[in-house]
Amino acid sequence: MTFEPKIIAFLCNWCSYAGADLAGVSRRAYPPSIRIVRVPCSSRVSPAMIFDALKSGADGVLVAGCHPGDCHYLTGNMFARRRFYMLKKLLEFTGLEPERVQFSWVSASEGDVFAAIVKEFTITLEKLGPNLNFRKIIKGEGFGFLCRKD
Amino acid sequence: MLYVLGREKLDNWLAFLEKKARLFVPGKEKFEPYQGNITFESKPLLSPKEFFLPPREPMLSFEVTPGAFPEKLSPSPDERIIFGVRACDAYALTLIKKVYQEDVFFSLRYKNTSLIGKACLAESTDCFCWAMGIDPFSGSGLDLLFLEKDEKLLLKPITEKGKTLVPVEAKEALPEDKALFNEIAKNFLKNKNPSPSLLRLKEKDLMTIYNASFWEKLSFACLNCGICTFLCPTCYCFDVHDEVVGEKGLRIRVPDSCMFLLYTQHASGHNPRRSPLARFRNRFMHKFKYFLDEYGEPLCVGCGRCNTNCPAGINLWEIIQAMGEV
Amino acid sequence: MASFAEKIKEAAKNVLKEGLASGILAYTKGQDIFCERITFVSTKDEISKIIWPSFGGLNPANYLKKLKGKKLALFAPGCVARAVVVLIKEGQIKREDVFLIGVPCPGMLDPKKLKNSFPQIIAIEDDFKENLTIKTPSTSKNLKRIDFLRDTCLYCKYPLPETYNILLPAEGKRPAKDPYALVEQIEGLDISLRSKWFWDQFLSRCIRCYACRNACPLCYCDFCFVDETRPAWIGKSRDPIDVALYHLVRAYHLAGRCVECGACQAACPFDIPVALLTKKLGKEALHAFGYEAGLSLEEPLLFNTFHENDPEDFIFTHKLKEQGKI
Repeated sequence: MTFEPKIIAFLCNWCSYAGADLAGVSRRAYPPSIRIVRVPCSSRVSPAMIFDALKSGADGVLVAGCHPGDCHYLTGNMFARRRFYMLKKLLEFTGLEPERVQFSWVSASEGDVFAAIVKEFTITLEKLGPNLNFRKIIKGEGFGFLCRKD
Repeated sequence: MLYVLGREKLDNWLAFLEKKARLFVPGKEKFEPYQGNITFESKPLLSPKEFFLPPREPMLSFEVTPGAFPEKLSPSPDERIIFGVRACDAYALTLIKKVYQEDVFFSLRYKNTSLIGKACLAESTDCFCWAMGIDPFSGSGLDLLFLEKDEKLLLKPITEKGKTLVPVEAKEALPEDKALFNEIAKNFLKNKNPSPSLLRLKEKDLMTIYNASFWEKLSFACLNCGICTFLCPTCYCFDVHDEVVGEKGLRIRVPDSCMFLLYTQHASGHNPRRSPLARFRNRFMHKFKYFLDEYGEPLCVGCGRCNTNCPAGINLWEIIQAMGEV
Repeated sequence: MASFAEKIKEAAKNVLKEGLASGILAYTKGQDIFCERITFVSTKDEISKIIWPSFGGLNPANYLKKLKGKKLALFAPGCVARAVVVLIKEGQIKREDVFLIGVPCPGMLDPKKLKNSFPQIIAIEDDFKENLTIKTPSTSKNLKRIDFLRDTCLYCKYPLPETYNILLPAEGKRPAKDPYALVEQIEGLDISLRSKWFWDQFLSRCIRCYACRNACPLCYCDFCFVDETRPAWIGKSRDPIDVALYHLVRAYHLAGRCVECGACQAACPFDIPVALLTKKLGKEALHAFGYEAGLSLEEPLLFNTFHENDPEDFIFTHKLKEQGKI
């Protein structure tokens, strides 16, 4: 059985969620790997939420917002852009497969772009494999100062 | 009964022990599985308390499906031998046992573990076990005690289990070896008396110490981190957590620290020890008054890890003396 | 020519005499030569106890949250002044409530580096310039301070404070020529080696004592994200995934706010390179956004503002466009 990645997507209500809707209405085909969480604005998404998704077993996390200048709340995505830049750099530095977390701008009219993003992200994750390192596993083990990786 | 073993036969002894059970030897930061040689000779930063009150003790496993009944978990029944434990750390376990004797997890681990202690001659300037009334040559809390002197190891089994830990190469000790052991034991305690503050603390009124004014000044530098509680071989407070992912969950017991904000937080949201001072005071009152009143000895074995590793430079003796003289 | 320590005491005396503050946060001797204690000095008699620490490590600005409502003076080397500036900008204290005695910092020594090379030090003499003399039971040795400075002090960019009320007439250390050397060393590694570094240094050793968080002057949240239970973002046990989450989220919460004082690393009992994670984010903030925490009282905070031309090469659609896929 081939590996089917699970992607949690945080889509902002005004642009990227509408873009995803448009992809559906226009019958654009994209892999069923994505599970969408609607947020009011991309700046609502905090790193704790992204890590929580990965911890619960998501293979990838996508955060999509409006293009800079088009935010419904005027400047939310501009602040988010700075924050996500720092988060990406932190993930790269600690070697925790930064390709699993992606950010994107998707406008309400870009249904085909949304479908392309999901398709490409799924392909990337299929190559990367399932998320085994950054996942909470319920182990019934007691003793051990540390759970060894090997 | 005393046995003598040449220092050069130490590796043989360890190999013999390794065949009996999983063997752990001191490392710089914690006790590590034996891998052919001992690299560290002194007290590790983390005490052997971690073997009995592990950082993560699964108690129940459950599934979020209708009709599923939680499954009680128990620790691994594997036997273990911990080598090179100090008298302070071993005695600490007997203190914890006073409180945890009905605890299923602790008791099972305690039953399956043998402790081989090294009689240290307090090489470190941090230690003060004698001040807490402990005699490192009594072997209390250990299964076997050994003393290293002049290329010889003198082995003294303390319990029945300890007798089985003596290797075949060990010979019965000669009278002069026995005399040497006794002399070293006697000399160690010369001029090393239990602290007079402890006697004063026994007699003092609890509320007088609790309401004293010195707490504010002494607790000022404290960061309320948790280092002292985690490194302390006698601290035993715990917290219970549920870890759930999807439909499967695990209820675990983890070490908690009285220094943390949520230590005494009630389910209603009320927190009787909200201020850092209250939690700081609670720690020392517990160790040197509440436990002393309840069990007759302080909940401290004089290992000195709290003093050496406190980032804020808090010193136990200042506080004990202030408590005793209020 | 007055010595460094004498200048410090003189400045403290003047501040109290002229009523510029109700008290001073200063270092006094601890019980251990390697760990000095931060005290709140408010009377003339206590001034004689003030010293300049050789080892220091903690950031006095951390104690401001314990003394809310009082007008205070602080001895401020670069990192302390920066921490105070960030606290002012974040609305935690008012500028007029803090009197900064600027100190050109000579850098703090690392007790672990000294103890590793010389296990039996009983006394030290520090000239706070270039030389250090240590005394062991058998001998006395002259050393160069720069060989034993803390890593954060060795690579410090701002030993001289940018914000102060008065500046001590003394000479401190020169700013490091290559402040991000350690960060670049890790960046240069292959991703699997970086992952191994993170595992070996952080995930397999951290005991979740929260000393790093409590020592940090900028971790002042009343209710830390660690204590959240609805939802519980991270577990409390030493499960590597929870340890990773703790360090990542904490480093992220300090992005653009860390003043590189190294208190976190000094407090850690296992010497985990916590300061390196936040230093990396400080480097990114400088190179990508031209911002460094705590240098200017007027400049907006890193995440309080944005620029139209902020870098966005990490955006997925840009990468796809480059590859011609959309």
